Amino acid sequence: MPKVLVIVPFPMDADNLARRRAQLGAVKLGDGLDFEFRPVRIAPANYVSQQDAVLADIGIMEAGIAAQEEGFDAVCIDTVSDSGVSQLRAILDIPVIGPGRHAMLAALMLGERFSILAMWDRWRHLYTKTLAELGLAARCASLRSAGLQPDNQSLLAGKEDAYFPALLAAAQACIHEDGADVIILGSTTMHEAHAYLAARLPVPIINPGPLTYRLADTAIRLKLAQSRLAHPAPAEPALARLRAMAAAAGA
Amino acid sequence: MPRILMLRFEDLEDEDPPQGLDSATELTIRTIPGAPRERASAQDWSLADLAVMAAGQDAQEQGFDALCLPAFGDYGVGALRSLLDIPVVTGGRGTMLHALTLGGRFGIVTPEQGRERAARLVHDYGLSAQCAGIAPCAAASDDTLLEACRQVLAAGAQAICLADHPQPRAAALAAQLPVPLLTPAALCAKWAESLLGLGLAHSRRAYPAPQVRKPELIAALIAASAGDATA
Repeated sequence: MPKVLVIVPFPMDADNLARRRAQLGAVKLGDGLDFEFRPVRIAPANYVSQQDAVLADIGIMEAGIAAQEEGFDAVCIDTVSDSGVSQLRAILDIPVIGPGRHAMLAALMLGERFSILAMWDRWRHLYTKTLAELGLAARCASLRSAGLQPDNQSLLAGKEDAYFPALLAAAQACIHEDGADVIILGSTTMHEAHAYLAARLPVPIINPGPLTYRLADTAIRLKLAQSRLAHPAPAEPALARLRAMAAAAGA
Repeated sequence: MPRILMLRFEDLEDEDPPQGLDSATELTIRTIPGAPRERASAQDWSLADLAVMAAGQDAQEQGFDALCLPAFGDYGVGALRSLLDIPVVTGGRGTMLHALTLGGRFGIVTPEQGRERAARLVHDYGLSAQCAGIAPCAAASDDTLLEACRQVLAAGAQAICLADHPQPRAAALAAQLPVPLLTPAALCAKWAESLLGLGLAHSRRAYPAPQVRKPELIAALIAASAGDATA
């Protein structure tokens, strides 16, 4: 049975990891794919600065560097920042799928302009980076946030009554004020709000984590992985160095 | 069980059924009646739009859950999206966007008659900066296909979209290339499964429904042209 590694971008306990794994319930998957959710060992506290971006890249790279040797057939990254995606695409021959880039391209299969709905404005840099890489900033109707403090461990648990209506109001502004045809959830940590929003919005809303699981299936079945010309390989994977770093981070 | 309808032009009928689908998926492949054999000019494109619209307009009523249009020219896609609530998956736009998930720039290898159409779609979709080149190719030999792929590679393509060519040739070709080779029919079918699995379809804001539907008129127009030897 093909195996997919989902790299979760923060260290966490089993209960909180289960909240990430719950994303699998939001999508109908095909035949016989096995998903393993693995937290990183090296991580920033959150994703709001360039310091955080470097630490995130290192941590995700360390978590996935041996995925191919471990027998995985694809890797999904559980953060819309797409942290570590370029690095793992350089190292691995198996498909590596990041939800940010893929969600934006999927949105353009469903409409002409999309908005990204974030929890707070401090995630804005994550999206502008991917939009610049894709050269598709003109297709982004807006980046809007609901002004809410995210929690990358417990996600939205216990805050539904306050947070869900605030997210809905921001999404409606994306549509009616900014002209979005499609909404993208700005973080995989927002997946618990997807069903609530999808039932109340007049446009498609993309749940980026579950999207990557379907695209992993597509990549495996069609034998399509990232282009080696776009992602040249390093002379040698830095496995020992990264493992030493992870040990140091846990000390 | 997801029921997917795939509509193909008669001249592309020799493609094998797409591989890699979920075992629960039921794929129905139909030929598009009344479509022009040549699709090299704006006249042909409009006739193709109409034929595709006619062939697909009842798909939802017939119980299909998604519609795939793997022709790279994306004929009739906008019209069918305006008429249908089920996902309508496109061979041109869908393949180009999927190529950008794998690399930063893509190239297109197309039969000669599809070159102008592909160029216009790249422009209209706002993907000119991401398209390294379009190489026309006579469908006569595998050597010419490989040469066309080398042309777009030399222009900087990091993934290649193979427009309107049979699948078996694609498999042999892919083994000779240093970059991913994307075939629209296979991708369309997998994207249809994915959109169904995720509960997604095209946006009604981008594809508003007509105030007055004209299914009988559309069907009559195609029926009237079916005996036209020039069609």
